[in-house]
Amino acid sequence: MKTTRITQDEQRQLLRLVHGELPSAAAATLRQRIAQEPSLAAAYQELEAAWADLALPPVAAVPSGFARRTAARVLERATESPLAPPRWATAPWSVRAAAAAALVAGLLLGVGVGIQASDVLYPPVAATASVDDLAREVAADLATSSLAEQYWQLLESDELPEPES
Amino acid sequence: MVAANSSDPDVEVLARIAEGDGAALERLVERHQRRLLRLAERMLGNVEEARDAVQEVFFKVYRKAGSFHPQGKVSTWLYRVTTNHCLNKLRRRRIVRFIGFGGLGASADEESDWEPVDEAPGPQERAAARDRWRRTRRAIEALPPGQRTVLVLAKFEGLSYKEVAAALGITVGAVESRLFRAMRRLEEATADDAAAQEEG
Repeated sequence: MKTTRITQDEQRQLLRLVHGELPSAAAATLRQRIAQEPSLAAAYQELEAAWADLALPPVAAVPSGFARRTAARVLERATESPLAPPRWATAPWSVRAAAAAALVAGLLLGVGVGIQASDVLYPPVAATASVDDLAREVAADLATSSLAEQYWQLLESDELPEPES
Repeated sequence: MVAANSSDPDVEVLARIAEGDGAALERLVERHQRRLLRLAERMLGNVEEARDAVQEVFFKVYRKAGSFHPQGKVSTWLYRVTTNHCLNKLRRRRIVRFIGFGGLGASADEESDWEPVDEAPGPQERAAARDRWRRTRRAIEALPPGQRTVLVLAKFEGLSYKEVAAALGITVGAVESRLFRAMRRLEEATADDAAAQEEG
């Protein structure tokens, strides 16, 4: 479609005309305009040609006995699984109430289990050593460790050890 | 529930199907098979897939016969069930293509079997017809499923905008918008084809 020449609204009107969807009075008015406006006429011809050019091969014939086979297959499948999937809209109120109660109970149970599990996985802070205690422990270890001594000596000597080959 | 006093004779048939009447089901299939198979084949581009799809559709119809509310014609409802089923198949096919199993269920292999009927007797006419079919099929397959459905129903099933809207459960405005977008895409594809031919 020539979008630079005609408006989108005009294009829609043309499409309706091609498809026979325009009321007769509107169709007559548009046909008059098409006769007078070359850009509208070109767009109309283009659209009509594109629509007419659409073609598909003839479809295959219906195989003989298709209806009989289809009905037999459907009935066979229906007897294999006779229960239709449950539909809430058609379920009696007692079933819906029971389902809602089960859902709420399930939610509460889930929340309860979640709280229990979080206590096991992440024990309360009071049960572990405090951060200050831990820091003091590490500092005491460093003070007595020969590794710490070597570290300080190395820093003071400005010498770095040769990398190991 | 099915209302048996409707003017649509299929409503009575549906009521019998809801009671498990196999003969009524066969009668319903017999009455609508041609249109539904044609629609499914146009949408899916594959004969075997179309037959499977229509059998699935009648299985759904059998299951839902008891809950059908006759606000429109049964034939319109059947169109809707069929288009929805085909749309689901198309969407699944797109996902399958996306994850790398491209070409499954496509119609490219069938092109060699396309033989025009008597109206195009000469070899040149036959070749031209095949070329048009191929271009149309390619263009339709490139459309998003929603646009493809509307185009197939309007062009190849000859439904009005109102009928297409009823069959798909959308508004007439939505039908028009989808058709409009589909036609724009088709025109772009035609222009690209023409440009490629000129270059070649």
